[in-house]
Amino acid sequence: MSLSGFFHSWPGLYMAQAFFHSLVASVIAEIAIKAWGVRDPAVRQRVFLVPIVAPVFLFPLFQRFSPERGSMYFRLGTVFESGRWLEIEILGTHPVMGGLVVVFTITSLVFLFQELIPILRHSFESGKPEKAVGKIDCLEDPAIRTAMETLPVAPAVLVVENDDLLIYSTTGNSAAVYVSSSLVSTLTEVELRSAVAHEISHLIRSRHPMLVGAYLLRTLMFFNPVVLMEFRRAAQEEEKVCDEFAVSITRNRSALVQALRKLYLPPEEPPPPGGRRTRKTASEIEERSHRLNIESRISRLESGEDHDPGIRWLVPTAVAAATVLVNYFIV
Amino acid sequence: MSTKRMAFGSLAFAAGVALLIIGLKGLNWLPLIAQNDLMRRYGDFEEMQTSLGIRQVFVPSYFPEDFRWPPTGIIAQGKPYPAVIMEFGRSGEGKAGEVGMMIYQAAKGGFSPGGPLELSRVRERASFSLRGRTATLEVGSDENGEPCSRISWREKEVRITVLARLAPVELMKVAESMLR
Repeated sequence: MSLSGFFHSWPGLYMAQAFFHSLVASVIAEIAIKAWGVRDPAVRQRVFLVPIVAPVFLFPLFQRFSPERGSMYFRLGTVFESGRWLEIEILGTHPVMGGLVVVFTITSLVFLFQELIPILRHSFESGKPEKAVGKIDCLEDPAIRTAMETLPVAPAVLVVENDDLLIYSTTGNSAAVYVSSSLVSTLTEVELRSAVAHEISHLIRSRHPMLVGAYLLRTLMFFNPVVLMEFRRAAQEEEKVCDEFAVSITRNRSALVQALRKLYLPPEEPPPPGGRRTRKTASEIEERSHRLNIESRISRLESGEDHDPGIRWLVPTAVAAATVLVNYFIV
Repeated sequence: MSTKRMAFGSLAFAAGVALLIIGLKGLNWLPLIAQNDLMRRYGDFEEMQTSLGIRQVFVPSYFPEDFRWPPTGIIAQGKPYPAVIMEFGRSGEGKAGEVGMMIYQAAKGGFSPGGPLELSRVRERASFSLRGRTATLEVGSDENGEPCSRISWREKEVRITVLARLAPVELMKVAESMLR
């Protein structure tokens, strides 16, 4: 089958339209966030989920309820017809079609190596956590016991012998929070409580049906670069949602800010004297991006609450409605 | 959020979406400049033939009452496959401007352009010989319940379809006049 033939087949039409639908949904989401000045991470996350979920369903739904959408007349009068761009021919080749295939291929590989394989590996290793000192009780580590005293939920908290500052949680049947021995000795009682509360939020929200469903749908869109990007943005918002949860149960913003600083923001090393750095390695770029993300979380926490019940559902609903309406005229 | 801020946000959102639609419309128009064989409307028959270089377009020499040459509308494309749609408006009293007949040919089987005229209910279907070609005649009604017929056959590498709000006999006369 030729490239053109593929893009005129149902799978090809689905992939192309899903890509354009998610792109439009992503722009609409951005417009909404700017227009209403949305800062609440829970609302932002719902808005980012629209470009992830919508492209999975829109094309089949439109075709089901409006088969004439694929007709020549409909395409002529539509807002944007992807076929026009895909059919552009230069020296006997279809550069846009070819470009789209390359983008889909790269995105699929990124999904495979950066998401699917690590998740599967993590799932297999979840049942075999690192060698831990053991479940914490009052006798073993008073610091953690005191920190946990005021938390409404008491998960299993295990200490891992490690010199690095680590805190993470595992989900599933062996759901637990792991902290490194070094972290326990570095953080104060209130900071440790905040950090554990943040991880508890992850444990609770890992079973959230909306997020589980969104991830399953996201896997169906493994080839779609817009969905990849939006899912990562939604994941970043997840951290902020968990920060809010932690603050809501500890009632201490500054403790979480301090914990984040100690955990993730070590003082940056000054550049070597006289040495001009012209190239950045991939790990440096990743580290910088991670640092920016942490700084953004800290600045959010420091700026105080910004929940606005008035827009909690209004903005995601408006984005979803506009996405459906506009995308109906994008074929 | 105050009502004022909410209203301003809604207005800004609507304006943003409107700008997005305008931008998409602009993007949709760009390929038409770059490539002249993409699907588009043409002002007249000669312009379409010159632009696309489609050598043979089958046209009728017989027109029933209310219909006449030239077509009131022409849509055509060269890519991904050649296709030409001719619309004929009815000129009868009280029917001016309404598309009453469509003739289309395409180098792709099963080509169905949709549009202003659709055979929504088929009452009868029959095969017959149209000047030596095997043609299919369908008789039924359009979405308004008005009698409507369709006839289609293969001619070399294209499939030709004549669809009209006409009695089958009249439609067959139109189809026959296309084959010289």
